[in-house]
Amino acid sequence: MDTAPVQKQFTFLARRSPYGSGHARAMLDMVLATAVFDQKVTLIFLDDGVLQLQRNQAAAGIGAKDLGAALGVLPLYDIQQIFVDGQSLQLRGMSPQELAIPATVCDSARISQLLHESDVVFTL
Amino acid sequence: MSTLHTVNKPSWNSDLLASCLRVASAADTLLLIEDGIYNVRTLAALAAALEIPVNQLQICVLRDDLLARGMAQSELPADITAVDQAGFVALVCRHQQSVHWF
Repeated sequence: MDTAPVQKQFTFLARRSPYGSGHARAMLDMVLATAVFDQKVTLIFLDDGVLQLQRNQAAAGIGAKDLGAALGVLPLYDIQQIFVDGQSLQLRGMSPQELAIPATVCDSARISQLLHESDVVFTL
Repeated sequence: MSTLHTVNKPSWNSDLLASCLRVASAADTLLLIEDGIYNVRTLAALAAALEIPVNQLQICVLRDDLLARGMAQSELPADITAVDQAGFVALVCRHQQSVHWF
């Protein structure tokens, strides 16, 4: 018996710095896996998560892979809904013009709305 | 007698740097490592807010951690020096004791 594929809105809140822990890398894996299963994916960078978007990361010296470069695969998985919290950027002295990948700068009200529109929300 | 202080988290989500600065004394060295690197951008403002004269401290950052986080040595304020892993070891040897804020 055929069943229609279930498609849900998954929202991911990336809140951790790129190399301070394994959280950021794990979240990217979750995001890509979700996209592979043809689900609707929204990715939001918030708090220290915005540091993942810093340009010119060169992580070979600490034995890690560049997370900024890894984020470049998101369009290949057809992930277009990428948001970054403007206040988090500002607090960390980052400019929206200097991000590793294009992301829509938004405010907390917009993030609140995105969360409301989600079926499933993951925070990592 | 001088002390080497290492800090590994940014000041905006931990009070490690503030705690360290409160007890650090003039001949000491502050070495920013791991996510402590991000304090480069906020150190001056934090020190001003705490009314601590950090210009008496020698301030260093671990270069590999700096580069990993997308910052360049050329972006560092003039009073902050980048050191490599060997430089880290040299700092440990040069100071009487090390205090790790983590």
